[in-house]
Amino acid sequence: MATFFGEVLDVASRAFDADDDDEDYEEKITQASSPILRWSPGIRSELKQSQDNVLNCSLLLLAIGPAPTGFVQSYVLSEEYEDIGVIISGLTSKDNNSFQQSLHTDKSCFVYRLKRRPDIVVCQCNARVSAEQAFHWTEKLFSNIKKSCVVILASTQSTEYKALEQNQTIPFMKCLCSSVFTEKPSCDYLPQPNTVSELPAAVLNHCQVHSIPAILYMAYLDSVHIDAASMKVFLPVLDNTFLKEVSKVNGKAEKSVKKLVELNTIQNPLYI
Amino acid sequence: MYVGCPNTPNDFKGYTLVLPAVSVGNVGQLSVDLLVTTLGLVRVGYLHSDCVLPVCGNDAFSVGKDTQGSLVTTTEVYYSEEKKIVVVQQRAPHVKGKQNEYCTSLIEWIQSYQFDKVILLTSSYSHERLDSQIQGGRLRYLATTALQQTCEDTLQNELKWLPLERRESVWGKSVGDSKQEDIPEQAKDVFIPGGGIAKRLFVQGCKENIPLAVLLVFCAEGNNVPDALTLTSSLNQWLNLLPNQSAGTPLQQWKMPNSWNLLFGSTYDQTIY
Repeated sequence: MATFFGEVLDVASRAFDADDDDEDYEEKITQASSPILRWSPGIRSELKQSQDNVLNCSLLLLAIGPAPTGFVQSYVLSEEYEDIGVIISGLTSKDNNSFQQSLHTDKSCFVYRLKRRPDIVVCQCNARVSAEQAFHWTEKLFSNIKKSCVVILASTQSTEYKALEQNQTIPFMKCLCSSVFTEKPSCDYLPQPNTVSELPAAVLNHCQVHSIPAILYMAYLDSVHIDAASMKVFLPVLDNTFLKEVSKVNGKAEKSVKKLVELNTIQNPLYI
Repeated sequence: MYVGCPNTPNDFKGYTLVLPAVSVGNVGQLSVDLLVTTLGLVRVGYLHSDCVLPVCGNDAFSVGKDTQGSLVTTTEVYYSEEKKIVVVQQRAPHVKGKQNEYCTSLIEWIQSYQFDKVILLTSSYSHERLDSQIQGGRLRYLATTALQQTCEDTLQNELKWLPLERRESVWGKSVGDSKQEDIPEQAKDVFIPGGGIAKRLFVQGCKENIPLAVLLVFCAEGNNVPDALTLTSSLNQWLNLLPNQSAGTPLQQWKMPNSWNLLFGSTYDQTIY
């Protein structure tokens, strides 16, 4: 394209990537690993004993990102729980995996089950799952879980939120739910023209297509690092029927929130 | 790939299928938005595939300001029994490297559901036009042999549409490109820069003898709503979708969905100045 001053610039389209035309590109894609799901030995024997190789589960709670996982860690996983599985995706030959989500190249997401309520399964996804892997990651997770109610917690930057009037108090929460979800949501619906992408969208799409009741709570945060307000924005979610019994809004949760914020601050000393 | 909604029809034999390609200016997708909103098409299923990136949102086709929370997923299928038309809307680009796989799955779906004809809506970079294409109409079409047998007369003589000019590769056939030999004669030298999967689907459509037409407009990135109106109005001239061939400009004929609000982002906070 020629410009006003006469130089010729390459034109890029916001919709179409010129690389996609190159047929050789398909052979050059980086071979990052496809998602792998591993259940604990106890769960594997439970699956063998079950009729359809599925885990009995009335609620699947999925937390994606630092603030949602921090919230679930403090308010839902505050009592005893057991590790029942792990999903690893996107590992390349150069990555090291610590299995404790302590390395920046960690790509594992852990699945837990509450000891007091073994019908509630919690998946903490603090590692970033790429949009390309999200479909298969979701299929793996749902391969052994009965069609139950799904609650997804996710977060993004408030600058991603599009509205005619920017009068929301940040942080705030909006929701999207599948058409078979009948309960009353704990916050307003996400209005047009906002969209959700990557893993939260992949999970919700899976639930919609397979008629699974599911709700996604998306928090819009203004802080890059997690803070108490970012985690507490999810508190209304605890009014959900299934979570009412297990959640604990108490001193233990407050301590956990404070600890997570401190841990995060130590790692990011730039703006003390 | 295709998953139908519960309690919806599953027989589309003889229907016309309209698909968008993710192309420059998103013109095909905008055009499908106009079709679904104006004709009041009903969702009948999903194209659940790992070849498209995931996205979801609320109330894309709702009317008015109420947020009803009806979820919209990445690729959805809408239909109208009255107009005998099935329309696919795709809201996200393809996963890199999976376009061929997507085209193959699409062709299999088209063949299994026995659509009467398939129309792919797309666009092409206007700066790549030949000198002869710079003047005159911006609409072009391509049709496979299978479709030419039934519709060539309508397209060329009645509607007087121009077929897309063929463009021989600058590098010719001397650069050891064995893939060129696989391409059927009717798909040789097709050049649709910025057209997304249009060329791939057309080549596969020719090989599999699908009655497929590719309809495109030349455009550049920017406000592509007028381009979408042009494309949709042209499609309407062929398929006669709007009742009574309502008079008026394309802007008056076609209704725009709520998802077109804030097309260029939200307003900024005035207090920062």
